[in-house]
Amino acid sequence: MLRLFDPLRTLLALLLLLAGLWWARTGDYFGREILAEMAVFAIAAMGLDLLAGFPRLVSMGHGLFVGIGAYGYAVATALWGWSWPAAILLALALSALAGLLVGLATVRARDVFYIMATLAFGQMGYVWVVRSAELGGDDGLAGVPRPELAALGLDLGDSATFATLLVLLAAAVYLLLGRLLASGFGRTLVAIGQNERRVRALGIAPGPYRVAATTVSGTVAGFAGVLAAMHSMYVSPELFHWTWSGEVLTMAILGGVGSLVGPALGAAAVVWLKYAVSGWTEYWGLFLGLFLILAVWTGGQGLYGYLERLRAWLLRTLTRQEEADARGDRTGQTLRRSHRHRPGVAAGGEG
Amino acid sequence: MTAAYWLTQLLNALQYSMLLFVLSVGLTVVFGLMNFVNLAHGTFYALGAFIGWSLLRATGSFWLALVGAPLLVAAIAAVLYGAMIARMQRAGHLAQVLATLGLVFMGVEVMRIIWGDFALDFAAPPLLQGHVQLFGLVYPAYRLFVIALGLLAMVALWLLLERTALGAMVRAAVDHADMAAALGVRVDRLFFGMFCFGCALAALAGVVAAPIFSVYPGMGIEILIPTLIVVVVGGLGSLKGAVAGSLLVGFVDTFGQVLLPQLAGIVVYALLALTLLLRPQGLFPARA
Amino acid sequence: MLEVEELAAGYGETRVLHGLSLTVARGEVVALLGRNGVGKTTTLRAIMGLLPPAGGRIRLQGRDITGLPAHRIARLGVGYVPETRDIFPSLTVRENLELAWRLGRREGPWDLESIYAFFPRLRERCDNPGTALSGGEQQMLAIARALVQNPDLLLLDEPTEGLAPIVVQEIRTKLRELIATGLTVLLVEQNFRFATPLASRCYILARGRVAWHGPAAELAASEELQRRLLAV
Ligand SMILES: Nc1ncnc2c1ncn2[C@@H]1O[C@H](COP(=O)(O)OP(=O)(O)O)[C@@H](O)[C@H]1O
Ligand SMILES: [Mg+2]
Repeated sequence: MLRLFDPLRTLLALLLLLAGLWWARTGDYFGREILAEMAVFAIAAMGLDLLAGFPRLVSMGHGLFVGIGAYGYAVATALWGWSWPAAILLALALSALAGLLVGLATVRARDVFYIMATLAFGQMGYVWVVRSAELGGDDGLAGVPRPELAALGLDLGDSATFATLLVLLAAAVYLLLGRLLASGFGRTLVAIGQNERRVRALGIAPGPYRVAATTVSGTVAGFAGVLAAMHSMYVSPELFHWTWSGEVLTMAILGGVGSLVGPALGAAAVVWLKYAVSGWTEYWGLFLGLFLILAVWTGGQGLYGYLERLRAWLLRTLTRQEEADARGDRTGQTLRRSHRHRPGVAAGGEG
Repeated sequence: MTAAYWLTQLLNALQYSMLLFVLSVGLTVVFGLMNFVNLAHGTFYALGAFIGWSLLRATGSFWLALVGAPLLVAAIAAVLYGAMIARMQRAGHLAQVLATLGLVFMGVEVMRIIWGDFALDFAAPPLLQGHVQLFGLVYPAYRLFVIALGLLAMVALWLLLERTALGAMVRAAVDHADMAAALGVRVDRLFFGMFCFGCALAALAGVVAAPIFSVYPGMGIEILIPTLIVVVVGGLGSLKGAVAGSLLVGFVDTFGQVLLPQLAGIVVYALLALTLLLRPQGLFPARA
Repeated sequence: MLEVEELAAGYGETRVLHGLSLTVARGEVVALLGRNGVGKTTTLRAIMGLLPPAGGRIRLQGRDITGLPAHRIARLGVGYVPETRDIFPSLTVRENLELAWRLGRREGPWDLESIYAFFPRLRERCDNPGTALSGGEQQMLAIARALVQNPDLLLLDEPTEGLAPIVVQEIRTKLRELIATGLTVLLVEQNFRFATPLASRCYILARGRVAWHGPAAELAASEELQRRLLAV
């Protein structure tokens, strides 16, 4: 379960939020475009964390939900001329429905089997869209409008305003998911991830929890898709492709699943790196793959895991210091703050 | 829609099935042994095609490419396994699987760097370049060769798994890995051997597919999904499952395109969804 | 033959054994008893090398085998009959035995011929798939499969679980004959009435440790012990 208030997590989230807002204000146009992309990926990665980090259901098909959200919004606005609130609602409803269906179809799959099943379902969306002439096939759909907020004095066509809005929305998603995961629901999800058999033995059927988590996760990913469509004002089938899902998964793992803020950090870091290396190499995948391998190799706890270890080490050193100061004699018996072990995405599981 | 037309579709379906079989059999046995799936399996398929292309260019012999590429790819797989996957034993199977996803990302780029972005032509051997008359039907000889090769692989693998001591060990380890180990089977070594063997088969499929589809870096990423569907539909860890799964996926996909063109490509996913719902274990799981 | 010292083991973050010690001498039959879920199977799996111990030492014939992989321990002469029997369903009865025999390759009284002579029913069923057997036959096959490797020590996990009384009787007879040949056995049982007549000494597990140990006859005689530690 996520602790509702964890100082480190909250601090990091605040830092990310402030850095984002500051960047939106001071960055150049290109920087703000990157920032908006970071926010979109952060939302998708946090949605994925709900599955990968808590019930340890490593979904490789999140592109399906992102794509459905993006195309739902794009089709409703650009093709059918719907108003933006209605289009957003439709997109969220469709991605929630997709989450529900995928959750139901995979309710008995675990671990590697779950990876394979979600991978395949994600790819189903890709094939569908690529072959659909109405949806623009390979070319995607252009002319997707951003919401009209002139009534509020906001112009989302302005990149600073748009990036600021996306950063704030990412923060809102973070808060909502944090609340959800700090509840009994979150506790059950974690228990399912640790030992599904034991959860059953306690008389709780894991199925409904898993389906609910997939639905919420799919909706969040769909929301990220809506924002992606608004951001680039264009949608392409790439959003559905399984390698795209793999990229989001890499961000989440690199940042550290099970912490919510970790995937957001991972998204920001990966997007930044992508643009940083694009200046001198066109082989970005080399780095992405290397990061993923390193992240799982080192235990799958990601950047946030390192921060937690750093904190634990600091606490140990500090308490030892205090004790030494207070007593001046035995330093052997340190007050070890019991530190909850947070296994990474890959660790543990039943055999 | 004459009889010849349907016969052609039938042969196309069979040929696609055979390709899927050679691809999926290694994957499914490895999965059965250790609950591990190599997401880079398609990458080895593409690598096989590229290495085969280079061998063909260097030696001019298709047959040398057909034999050499799988051997080289098996060696590469062995090195990657030893350097990476074996060392991640403690991190768990899921970590190993995710590491192979990293290999997918890296593999595409490595192939782009070495062989470039464009599709390369790969000529069938002169012996198989023509067409064959068959029940009043003209069919490319090379595609018949693919079918024959797939059938041969099926029989050979069946003999290996069902009729040899090694095969009995593999089956036992797939059934109950712990019990096999408690009898003295080195399950980790079997796993390593099957992993490399599976990658060699993927490379073989890559070379075989090359004259039909040409060779390009993304080919492995595309083939992975149908291969995984075969594994899931057929059931994990069993040869019978790989046979049934590849035939089902091959035929459903081919005839789906013909009979339901508006749903082209989607029908296999419906097959997958149905299987997951009705028989989550797949058709012929090794561990019933 | 076997010395287990302060063994600790568990699954993930949950510890099951917290320092368990026991010994089995050559030619001895020792019973490991305890309520359901106390960790008897866990103990055997740890000895067999199927579960990495979190602490403690395991010695076989004086040699430290702690943390060795299962296939090494098997080759050092430990035979394992798991609670779930784990007959290989995709192998026939004959293949189940041949596989074990080929992997065993140790000197001893048992080979395929003598095993079939000892369990004639297995010979009748030798071309059946492993799963086509009845529960009792599966148990026989599991025992035969371990025996044919000529182990020095046999780990036997609840051989009577889920079997009809008449089959239990049959297994008892076979085990008596085996024990008479001088086989060393660590027998896990929940049913102490089955175990005490066969064993010379008993250990009772509770809360991850040995709560009592002593001669089997003493346990058989003490209703107080049985009530307190075995809940009968
Ligand atoms: N694979 C497993 N994963 C997690 N916990 C397990 C596993 N196997 C057994 N346990 C737990 O370990 C404890 C001991 O189990 P076990 O050794 O099988 O007991 P016994 O054989 O004495 O009945 C039980 O509480 C059981 O729930
Ligand atoms: Mg038990």
